[in-house]
Amino acid sequence: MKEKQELYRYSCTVEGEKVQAFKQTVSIADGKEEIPPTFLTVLDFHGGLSFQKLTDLLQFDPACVLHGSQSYEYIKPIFPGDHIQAIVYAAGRTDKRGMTFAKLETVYVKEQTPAVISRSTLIEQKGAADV
Amino acid sequence: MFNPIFLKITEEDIRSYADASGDFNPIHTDPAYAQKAGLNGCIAHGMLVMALGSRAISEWCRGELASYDARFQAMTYPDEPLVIKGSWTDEEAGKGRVTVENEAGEVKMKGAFWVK
Repeated sequence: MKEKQELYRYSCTVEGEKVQAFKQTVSIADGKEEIPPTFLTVLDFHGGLSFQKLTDLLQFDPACVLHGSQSYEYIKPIFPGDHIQAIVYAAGRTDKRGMTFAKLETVYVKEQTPAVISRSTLIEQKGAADV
Repeated sequence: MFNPIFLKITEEDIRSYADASGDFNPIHTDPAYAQKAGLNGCIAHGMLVMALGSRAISEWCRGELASYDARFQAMTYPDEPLVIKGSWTDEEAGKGRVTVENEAGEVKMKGAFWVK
């Protein structure tokens, strides 16, 4: 795959209750109003991109998926109440030593411009399980 | 070198994270499914480990995160004693590294961050 291809898109509003529940779970008491740095994965799940949906889209066996890497580039803050459109791209797919590596890029758009860009690598490896 | 942070992720933490995140992959919450997948039991979400890394960064550093990268290197089982370590790689530029490892030195997550 040479060019990234759109895989999925959704839009949703960041719910304050979900942000608070997330902060409580990971004991974040920073007093900041903006969402925690890794909260966007929550937005994906609540926006309809469940693990099952993602593995279906990638045609991966869900019992054999490793989360290899994850990165975030923060451009502008996101707050509870913000309306976000997320566009998920398949950015690459390679096979190596019996494993398949899928690269994903998600652009979270707030008020017409990107607020955060997420990049991740998922690995399908028979006999292993999701990290 | 920042002050290391010692912690354990319990089964309850993993269940709470599943509820809060919406990530209900049974590998994290169903021991029988996890064993069928070749594991010794349920494992913590990699994103939970990454979230704990971000909490450590916010305790160590002032400023806003501009980027945060993580590579997941090994699976994290409940109740493993863990330590989060971090240091600057370029303090002037606000760039640093963070790792999460167990008592035996097995690295669970290796990360890099940039604060502005």
